[in-house]
Amino acid sequence: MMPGINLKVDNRTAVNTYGYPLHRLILSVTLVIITSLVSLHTGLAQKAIVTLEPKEIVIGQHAALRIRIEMPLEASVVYPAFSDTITKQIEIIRFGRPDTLMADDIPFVLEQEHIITSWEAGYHPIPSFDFLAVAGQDTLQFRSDALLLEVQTIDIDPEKGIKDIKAIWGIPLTFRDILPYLAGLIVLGLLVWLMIRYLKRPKGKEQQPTVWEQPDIPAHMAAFSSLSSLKNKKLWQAGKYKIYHSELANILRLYLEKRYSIRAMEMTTSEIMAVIDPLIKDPVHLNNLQQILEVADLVKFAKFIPEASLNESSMELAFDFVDGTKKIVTDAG
Amino acid sequence: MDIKELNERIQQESSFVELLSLEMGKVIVGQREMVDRLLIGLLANGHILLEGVPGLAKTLAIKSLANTIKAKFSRIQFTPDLLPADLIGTMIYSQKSEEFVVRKGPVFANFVLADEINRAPAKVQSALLEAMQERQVTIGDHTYFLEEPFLVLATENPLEQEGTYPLPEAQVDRFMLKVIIGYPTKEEEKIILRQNMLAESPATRPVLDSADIIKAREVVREVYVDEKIENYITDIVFATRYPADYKLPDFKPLISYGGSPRASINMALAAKAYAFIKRRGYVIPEDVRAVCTDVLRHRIGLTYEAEAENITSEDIINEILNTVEVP
Repeated sequence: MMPGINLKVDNRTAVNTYGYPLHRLILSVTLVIITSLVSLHTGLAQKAIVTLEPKEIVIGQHAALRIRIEMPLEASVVYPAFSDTITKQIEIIRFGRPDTLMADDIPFVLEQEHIITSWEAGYHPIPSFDFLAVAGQDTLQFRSDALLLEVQTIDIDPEKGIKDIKAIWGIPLTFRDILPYLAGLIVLGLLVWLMIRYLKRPKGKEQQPTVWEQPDIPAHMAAFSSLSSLKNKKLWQAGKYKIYHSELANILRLYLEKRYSIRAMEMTTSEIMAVIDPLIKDPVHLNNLQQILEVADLVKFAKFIPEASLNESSMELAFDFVDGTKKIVTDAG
Repeated sequence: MDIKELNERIQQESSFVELLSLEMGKVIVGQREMVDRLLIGLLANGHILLEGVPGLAKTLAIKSLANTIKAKFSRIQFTPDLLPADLIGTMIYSQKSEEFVVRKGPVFANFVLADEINRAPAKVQSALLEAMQERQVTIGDHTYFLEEPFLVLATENPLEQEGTYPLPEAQVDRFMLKVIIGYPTKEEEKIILRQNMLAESPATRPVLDSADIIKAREVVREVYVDEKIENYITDIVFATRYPADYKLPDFKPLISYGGSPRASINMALAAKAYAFIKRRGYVIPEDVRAVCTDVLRHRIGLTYEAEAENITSEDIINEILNTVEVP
């Protein structure tokens, strides 16, 4: 016999004496209030009627299994506890709740309906179920009749040919589906970026290899190169006097910065002359420099258009100035 | 515009500058820079604030400048109990005509010497500074325009002196230049000593009239400013606002506010006037550098951090000038 569950109907609190899961509880609910206890053996006989609708199903089709208890008096009824199968071949899809019905000729009727199915073709017996009715000190056991469920397989038309199992249907991807992968990619990218930053971090002084600094090209060499380049641009010949004299003055100012370590680029002509005066002994070079810078200032700030000879002489004076003031390095150092 | 022509014209028009300087030199010993700045203000139509400890001939210099020009001069000694009406004038009741008549104040002059401006409370300072900006004064229902040239030359004692009211930033910005007067050299002081021992003190005589000044101002406006110079000026002013953009990130926490557009305008005008004094028809970077400190020093706000480190606005301006590339 299947294990049963007792339900105390008076306070409507289910006590699971066997520790079954909740869904099993639903199967075994009983509603009864005992108003008067008389012997169960007197009056009408109790019945358990189990019906199946339909009795014949196709594989997987649902069928309703109805259990009806008819009692002469109100009593506490103990149902058999079902698991999710009745037999190995018959599954319970949905458990029904017991329902109390009132009938004219029967004092107490309980009904319950379960939905069952089967996935195996053939004839599957549904065994009889045992019920217990408890009224006061008296207990009575009664049983339902067994049934037969016929399960038919699906008809196959060999003329249409045998088809393969259908592939699993794909569903469209949503953002929510790709979100975890996206987050993973971002985290991975972040890790790679951090690693690159870590590898490219500036090394500490102690980690720096001892490399001798490449000697910079001498100031006069750089100046000669820039002056030659400017000369080849033929700017003043194209009427670009302002650019020509601005570049010429800037080449000399850069030369002075490198040669004498003064901030000539941030100085005006008069300031440069004041600073350079004690550093250059030959007054000819000083005059040359002053002339170049003053002509450049006139062109830059006073719309002065110099004669061709003045443009040429500025370039020649610049070469002379750099040549005359260049740092001479001897072998002795 | 032909620069050569302009140069020649300026050579002629600016000849009075030398005459004016010579006259000033009779009374003022040394202080060449202060005299130059007074001339800049005069020629660029900008008001000047002079700051220095008492006894450095600030008042004498302004008085002497006014004396060299045939123009109306008035002097107002600012005191804590001075009222705006003492400055701009008021309506008084005439019993004879049985009506209110306007009594104009000392601000109605060509040269106004506001002596020790920071000794008067804010409402009097505002009354004067409003007249400086608007060049007009309202008394009762009538608005009176101030006669040109109108130049306010204010002196200020350093704020450490007792009983002084600092000028608000917005009002101090209306002065084109703020000139700090230093002590004379030992040699200069000996000459001052000797001059003052004479029975009769030297005095200036008028060599110009106000019409000459107005005419000179028109020529000053024509002095050519190349785009390279304009860029240089804006670079300097922008360096006070965004020092980090000019390789001066250390100044960012030291400057609370930089120079206003009025600083750029005044720097260009003052540089033009300086070029005119140097008898040139065009502005060169030297001119900008010459006026830069006086134009900017009262227009840079320093933070508490700068004050705690004893960094002055002059320090900041010098470093900016040493960093911004000269065109």
